[in-house]
Amino acid sequence: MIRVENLTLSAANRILCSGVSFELGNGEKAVLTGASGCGKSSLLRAMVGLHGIDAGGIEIDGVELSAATLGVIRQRIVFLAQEPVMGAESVREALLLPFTFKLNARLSPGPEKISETLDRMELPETILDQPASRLSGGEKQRIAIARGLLMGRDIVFADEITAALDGDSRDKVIGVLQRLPVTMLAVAHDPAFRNAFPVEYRMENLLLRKVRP
Amino acid sequence: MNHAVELSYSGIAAVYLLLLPVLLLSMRYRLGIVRDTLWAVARMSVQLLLVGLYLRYVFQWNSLWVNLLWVLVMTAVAAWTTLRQAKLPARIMFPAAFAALTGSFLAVLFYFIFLITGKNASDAALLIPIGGMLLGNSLRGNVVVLERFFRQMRDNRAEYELRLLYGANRNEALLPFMQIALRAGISPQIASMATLGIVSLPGMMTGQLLGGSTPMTAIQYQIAIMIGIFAIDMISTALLLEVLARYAERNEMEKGE
Repeated sequence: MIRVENLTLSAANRILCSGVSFELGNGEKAVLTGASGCGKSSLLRAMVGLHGIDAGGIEIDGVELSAATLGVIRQRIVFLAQEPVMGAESVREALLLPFTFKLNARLSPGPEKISETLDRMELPETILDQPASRLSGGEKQRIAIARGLLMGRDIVFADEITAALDGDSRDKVIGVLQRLPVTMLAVAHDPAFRNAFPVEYRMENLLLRKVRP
Repeated sequence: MNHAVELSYSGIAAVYLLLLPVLLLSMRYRLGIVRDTLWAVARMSVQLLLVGLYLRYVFQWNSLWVNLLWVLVMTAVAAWTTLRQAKLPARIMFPAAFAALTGSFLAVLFYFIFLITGKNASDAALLIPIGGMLLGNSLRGNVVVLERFFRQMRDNRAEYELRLLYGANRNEALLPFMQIALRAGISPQIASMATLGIVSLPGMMTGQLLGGSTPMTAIQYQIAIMIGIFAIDMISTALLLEVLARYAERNEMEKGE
């Protein structure tokens, strides 16, 4: 369960939003809409500790986000940016990047887990040996999702991840996200993405309100 | 064979005459650099004359403390210039850069003086030229490394954040950026070592030959100084990155508490 209470965020001395409160139950999937530059991305970034909080709090399964809990909370979350970052030369290295860090070294997944995860992403196993730079935008996004799943992360924060994709790749990414048993909050303008999920919050005039259901 | 080749007054005057064709050519092609050239030549001449006067006294005193003071002035100027040329906020970063540069410089310089030449650190005639060569030659490398590191951190911020979000510790998160920067700084040094003596006769060797040393002495010193420059280059850039990286990190949540 994600709980955000009375959150105020600012950037460069400008208030982005204030008094933002909402809850997201486990397994719930919501989209976050609103004019561009209104602070949606900053809200997502604040929820993984990449943007400072002026007031209020963020809680994930009863754990309040703070400098002390940042590490634990981040281990729950897959953060997907519009421009997917691979962070390695080959797809295999990109997928296994988190396991090169000391903290995760012992969690390294076996080959079955990897092929099962690729399968859920509807990606062929041959993709592993390709250079990461040769993948399409949609494939990169699905590799980025697979990377989080391999780490056992069960919350997805996505920031306009289908904005740069063509219709076909977009539908694949949406399909994958719909089927996954994760909690999701996704910033999206794209109507196809918005309509694929049952809950919608809109950020307007510094406030957040639920517009669906 | 132990006499320096000295220039006569008429020789020095002739050197300045060599500027005449340069000025004529730059006027012919309308390069618009006459004023800059004259200003630069004048500055160089005055600066070097002052250093010459100053060094005469430093060599006379031959005191460890005066030498140390000279070293500190050198590293302060080097730290400031490096930050400015790398287009970094010099005022904010100066203390850390100065400390890193002074630390690595003193370590390599004293190692060099004591263990390689077996002389004393109060020997100004040895310490100051060697110090100048070490520091002067590592300057360009330091600028390249810092400039590259901070540019990488700015342009590939998302990759840095990705690594943090996946549980990288500080060093792990910074590693690829440091690798790119350090490689950029050290590769030209490796290349220049490999071609030395064939493509160019290095300045120190030339200086020693003119000063009356035998070719073998000149070469021994040249080998020593090349490895010294290589070492200080790597040590000072690594240390600079370690102390300055925090200015590029800025991880909001971790900063606050």
